[in-house]
Amino acid sequence: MTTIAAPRRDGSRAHAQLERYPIMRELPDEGTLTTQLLAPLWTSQPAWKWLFLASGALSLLFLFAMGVTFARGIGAWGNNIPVAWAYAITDFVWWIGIGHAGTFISAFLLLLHQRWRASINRLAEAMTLFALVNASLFPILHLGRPWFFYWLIPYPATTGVWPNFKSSLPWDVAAISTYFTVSLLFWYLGLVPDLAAARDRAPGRTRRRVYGVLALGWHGSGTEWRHYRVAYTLLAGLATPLVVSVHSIVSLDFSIAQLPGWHSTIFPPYFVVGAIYSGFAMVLMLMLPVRHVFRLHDVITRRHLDHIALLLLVTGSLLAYSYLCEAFGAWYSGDSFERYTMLTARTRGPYAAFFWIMTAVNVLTPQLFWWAKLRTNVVVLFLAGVAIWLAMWLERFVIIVASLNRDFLPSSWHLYAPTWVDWSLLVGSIGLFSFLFLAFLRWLPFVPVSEVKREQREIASESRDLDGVAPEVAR
Amino acid sequence: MTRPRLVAEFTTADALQSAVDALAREHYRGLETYAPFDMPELDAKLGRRRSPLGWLVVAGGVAGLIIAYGIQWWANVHSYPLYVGGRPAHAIPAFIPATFEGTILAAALTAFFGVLIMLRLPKLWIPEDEIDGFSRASIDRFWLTASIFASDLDREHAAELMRGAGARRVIATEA
Amino acid sequence: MSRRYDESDGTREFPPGVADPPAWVSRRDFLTLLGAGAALAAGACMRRPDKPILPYVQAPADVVPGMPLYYATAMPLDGYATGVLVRSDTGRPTKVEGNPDHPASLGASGALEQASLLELYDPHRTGAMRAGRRRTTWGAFKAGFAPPALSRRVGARGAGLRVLMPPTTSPLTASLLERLRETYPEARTYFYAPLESPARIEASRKALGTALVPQYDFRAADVVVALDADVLAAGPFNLRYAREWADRRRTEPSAQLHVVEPTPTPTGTLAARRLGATWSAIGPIAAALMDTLGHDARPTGHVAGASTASLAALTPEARAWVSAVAADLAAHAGHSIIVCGERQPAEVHVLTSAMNDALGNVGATVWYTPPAVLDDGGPAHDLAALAAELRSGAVDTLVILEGNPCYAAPADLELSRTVGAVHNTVYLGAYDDETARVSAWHLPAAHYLESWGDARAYDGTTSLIQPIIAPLHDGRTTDEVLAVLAGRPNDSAHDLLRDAWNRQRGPGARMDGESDWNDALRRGVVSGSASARSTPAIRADAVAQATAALAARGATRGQIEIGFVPGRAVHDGRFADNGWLQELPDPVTKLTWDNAALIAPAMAARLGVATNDVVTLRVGDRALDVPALVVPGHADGAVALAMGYGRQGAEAVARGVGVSANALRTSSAPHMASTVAVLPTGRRHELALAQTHWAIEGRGSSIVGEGVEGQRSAASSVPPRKRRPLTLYEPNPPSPDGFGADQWAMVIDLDVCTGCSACVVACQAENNIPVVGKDGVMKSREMHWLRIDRYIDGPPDDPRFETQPMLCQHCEKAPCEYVCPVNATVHSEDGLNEMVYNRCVGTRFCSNNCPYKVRRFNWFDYNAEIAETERMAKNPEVTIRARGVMEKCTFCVQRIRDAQMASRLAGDAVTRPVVTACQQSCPTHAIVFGSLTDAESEVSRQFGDPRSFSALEELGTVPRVRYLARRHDGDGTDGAGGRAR
Repeated sequence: MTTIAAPRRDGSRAHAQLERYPIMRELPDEGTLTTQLLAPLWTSQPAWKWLFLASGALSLLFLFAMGVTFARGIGAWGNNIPVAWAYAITDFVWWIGIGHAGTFISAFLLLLHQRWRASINRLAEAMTLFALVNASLFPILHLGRPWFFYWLIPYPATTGVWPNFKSSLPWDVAAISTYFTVSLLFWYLGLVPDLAAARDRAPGRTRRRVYGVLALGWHGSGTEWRHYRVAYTLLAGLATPLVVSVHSIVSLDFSIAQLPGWHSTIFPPYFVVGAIYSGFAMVLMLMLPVRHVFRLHDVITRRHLDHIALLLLVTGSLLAYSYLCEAFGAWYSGDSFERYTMLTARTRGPYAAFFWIMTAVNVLTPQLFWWAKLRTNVVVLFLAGVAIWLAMWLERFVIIVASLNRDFLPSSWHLYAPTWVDWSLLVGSIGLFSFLFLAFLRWLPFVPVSEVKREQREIASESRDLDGVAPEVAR
Repeated sequence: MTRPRLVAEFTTADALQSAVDALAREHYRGLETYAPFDMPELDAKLGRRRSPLGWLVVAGGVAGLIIAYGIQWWANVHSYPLYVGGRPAHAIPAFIPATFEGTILAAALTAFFGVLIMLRLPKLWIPEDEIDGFSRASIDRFWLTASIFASDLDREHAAELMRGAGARRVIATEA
Repeated sequence: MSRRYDESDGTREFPPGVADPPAWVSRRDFLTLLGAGAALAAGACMRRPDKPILPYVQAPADVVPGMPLYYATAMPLDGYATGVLVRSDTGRPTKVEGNPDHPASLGASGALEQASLLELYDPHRTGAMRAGRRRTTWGAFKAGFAPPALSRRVGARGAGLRVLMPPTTSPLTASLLERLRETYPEARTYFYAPLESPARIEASRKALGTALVPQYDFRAADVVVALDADVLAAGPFNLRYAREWADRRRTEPSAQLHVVEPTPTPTGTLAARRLGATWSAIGPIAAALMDTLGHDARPTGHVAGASTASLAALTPEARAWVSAVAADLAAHAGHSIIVCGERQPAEVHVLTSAMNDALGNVGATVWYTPPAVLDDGGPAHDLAALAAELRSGAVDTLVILEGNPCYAAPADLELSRTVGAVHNTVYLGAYDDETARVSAWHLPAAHYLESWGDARAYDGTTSLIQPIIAPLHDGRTTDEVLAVLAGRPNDSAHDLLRDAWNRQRGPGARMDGESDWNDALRRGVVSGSASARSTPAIRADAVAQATAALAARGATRGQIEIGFVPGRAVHDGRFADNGWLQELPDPVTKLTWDNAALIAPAMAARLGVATNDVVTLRVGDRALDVPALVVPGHADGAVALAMGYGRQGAEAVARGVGVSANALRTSSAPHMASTVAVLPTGRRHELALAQTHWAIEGRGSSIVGEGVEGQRSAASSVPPRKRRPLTLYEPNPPSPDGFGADQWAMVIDLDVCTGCSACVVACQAENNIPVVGKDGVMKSREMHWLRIDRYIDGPPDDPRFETQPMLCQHCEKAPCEYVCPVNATVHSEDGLNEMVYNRCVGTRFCSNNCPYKVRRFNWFDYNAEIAETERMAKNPEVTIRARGVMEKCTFCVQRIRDAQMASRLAGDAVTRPVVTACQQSCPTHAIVFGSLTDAESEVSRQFGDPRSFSALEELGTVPRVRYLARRHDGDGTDGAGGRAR
């Protein structure tokens, strides 16, 4: 990534890329820019309404499936003994993994002075938030007695009993709630200056009032900017370790167990990489249509596509390496149970098809992006995004179900088959995500206006100064 | 100090910057700028020091760390120890993840609410809002206010400097 | 500390909203119908079941709420009594256990005895007397069927009266039948049970001159040979035989069991040498065995030439088996037993007797007694004769006293039609079943737990049957109905029994009679009532004839045979409405909620069918569609079909489960038929197998301790593995409650475990474990806390069977505990892995992390709408679990705490012995439970046994349940069946 980071690295491929695609095309003045970027807030796209209704319907399906689960019990799902965890946990890990790309883009790249992130970070952060909304629903849904979910939280109960912090599930509670809170604060703080802009551009009192309140009375005074800058950077700095810690902790939900296929020390890095990988896939899925529909080719340029493709290539290759290590570890351990699960059951067991599909897609797809042309081919990128997005769901399914269904005692081996409720929860959660995301596109500035303006000014000054010192973006 | 204050509107960031340069060179104080985006380059001229927020956040993080570990120790070691998986009640490695998350959470909350408190936000109205067109400060206009002058003459001079820097207009306001 | 103990015990309070949702009821409709049955239950029973239905044998003064009482009684099955002790909680029978004083029980109790409790509370039992469509009363029945009235119908000499009942051993019934004969000289009584066969008696008449049945003493036998006989798990004395054989095996490890059988049975799985052979092949093998025994051991009158033909006809495997077994027998002459399956033809029984005689076993390990069953093997047991009489129209009144013959009779008799044609039929039965539907009168039959009566065990020992609870449905006993017919309409069963008792004691013995009576009631047996032993000589000519007959017949080569075997769970269909038994996995195949055509892998390959494929079985012109189940070790060319399924009565649980084997049975071939056509249909029927994977995947040494003994004895100088310290990770703090004093543990001896599954039902009864239904089992959601794992490995024609009871291992370093986020499963100071139901939120992480997968999850609210009567069966000492919580074996913590409290009240130094439900029921004493802190305890001793190992030891979970590895005899000696280690 650092190669991409350094704006000048003579002769290097990255340099060539940088030259070919600017972060932003030649931009109009701040006024027109603002008008252009805030336009979606005032005018609705015709297609949007239908998409919004459709996703709303799917969200209702989600609600209905939840209702069935609460009313009947977990028996409404396909779960059994030994496969006591299945779709719900797969969906949970999948969504929370998707969430990671947002924080990665907005916080991690911010610290690394990756200025190209500016135009897409808000999209990515919103994606994180909405993915986390789903992710935090599933563990509660999944409880046998969901109405007691709060027993996982340490509070002075009359029973005198506390959560057991030796279990990784309370760690999960801490990690997910922290992650959600920090992401929310970071996202909102970033929104404030743009909400102010929206307030000042809003047609009509009501909207002005609403955005006015949301903007907290931001006026962009030097003093405000001075503290804001520090707070925003600090939040970025705090969110960055979360990217690493949260999915590490999620992976511990599996690796602290002694189940073959779960009990593996490689899980934390393996899961983090997979998470960011799946996240970038979804960023592509969301960003490309938005860019197309809202004609954002000026702010989301081919350079962004190029960089995300490169990140897919990097994370995808790391993931492939993790797959390799996982299998090697099982073989090298000499443990017959490990060997059976990882080498026999995975590759030839009842769920072998899923294993091979997810391996093929996750390992091979990103290899396309060794070719610069493909890195900026919108169609290829979108299809690759979708494929990886789905394959990463399969990966979690294989890790969870294909490990559980054949454990130590062959006597208890049993297959798992999902019911319509399992499917509804999965599809419904996608619906809810789309619902929230569409609402975000409609009512909030999804491109960080002030940051774009800032970048624009910097590019201008860069092109002016000739000595070519890499500009320090003192955020 | 004497009233009224001066409020100048600029159309470009560069104009604002040169105006700030000019006034700063002549040691005007009580300057405040308004811009649609962050302009850290002004801070030096306006003699602004780095925000102390960082130290606050460190303190918040430490507090979070202590509280998070404390809760776990209290719950599993002191208040109600149980035999769990043949492991010791005070299982330090097991307490690390939640402690870490607690630290981050507390620090993040400090950062967010810290900045709100320091800026006294939310603050839905400031005097400048009364100035016609000031709202463009969040969009494409750059404003400079100066409030401390030795004399009316002094103020006049400042106004001159502002105009010289390319102020679109300079307003003297009692607000 | 005490707080932790209270937590662990689980209180009865549940959060609101747990018990509501009725949405899924339709999903498990059989339970819905159970719920509907609640209407049948006596309303008064709901809140306080004790008052209205107190057994009057016990003065209410004896009843202390919360303090269970135990009563001795006996459960008759096919006439034979098995003594039981019944726990009564404030007037409700809640648990059936074995009676140590009873010869058929010796303290053990089988799955059927255990489950008979649920039968008592079955909401589908007939609730009211019926004449035609109208409800009627006992008085009306008496008015219509007492002599003067009935004589007008059936004639003064009763020519038009017939009585049909299952075989009986009851002296009282016998005396009443005698009286009936006096009243109606021309009335006739028939006995019928689908599983009984006259062959045994016929053989003894031929070979021994009179009707006798063999009795065995397995404690004195070093070699046992079973010819198509599931002697350790089926038959009237199976509990005793299993106990005796296990005792011998324990003290004399060389004691061996050899089995030849068509379809694998629990006995077969324990055999040192097991041979699969079709039913008709057993005879020639027996002949060949006799022939090979050698000159000195050769019985008199044996014709040398005759059987050599049959010997030549045997397959190589059979010849190998015969020679090895013959050598073993010869080496243990006088200390061996040869047992022949009841349903084998008379010739095989003759040869068996002859061989036992020749080996000098008779008088040592084998002797004979007169049969306990009334007129055993006699003409009265010929149902076909009755059917003929019915068809002839000579019968005006037919009185059927239990047994549901219209279902159980062979198809060719068309009994439903003929009985329906009789003008005046009375059916005394527990259910509105196939027979009730064609009978004019239907009287509800009393359950044995509601009845006064008596019955004899297989060896003739008489037991008194006393009611533990007043009849729930105004049920009547066979004896009461007979009394009405015989002209004593107003005598209660109790009075009839006392009369018979006193008459038997003779006049003037009244006072002794009183004390004897009480003694007999208390102990559950009438002392000294066993039949006299006899050791008659064999008739040479009979042996010669039998040998010749067998040689003449030979095995049905190339033809497929079908055998109608007893359903291990539902017996002959009598228990078909019993959810516990329907869901009890078959000990060998793990099949639940169905019967299937069991076939050998080779045969399946030839037919091109697999498990779940429906095949058409064609016997003559009768055909039946049955799902196939491929079982390794099954005899090629043999199809085994369990009886007792395919019920069409009104019982909601039983109806539509499986297919009725009776459709293929004929009165000429009621137990086995040859020349069967097996035709694939291409259709599928999903069987609910509780275990879908039989191979052990080369994990034998980790799971069932293969070769563990070898390793130990190899380094004999080193003591067997040093047991880990009993303390938990942290040393136990001194506990004011004194609960820290014990460290509970269990040892299960795989060498004597037959897999009979009595423990599974015992656990279900003791711990209020719900039934999940067929789809529940298919989804792998069984709730059994204790299950029997069955591994079938090695060559499919001669596999190795491994049996392993699997329950919570109460690991000292339990993987389930540290993953529970809410401390719902934790460890007690006395080494129990505790499950705190009301703390559980149901993350199911504990199950994922349990290597033994013994944790069960309440996927639904299984206790939401069970019938009121079924609620009466619940053990008040054990919490009913809510929806969404985990549950698992607790080592019967309720019994442990009871014992501890009792000990503390009595001030005992050591806790009184605790007997878990599974341990109590185990016929072979394979399960030992106790405290490791007592170095003298049996469990401590067995922990140090060279064969002791813990499952998946390498995981370091340090289980408190250890197993004693099975000794695979004959290993290496002939390497038969790939048993080489």
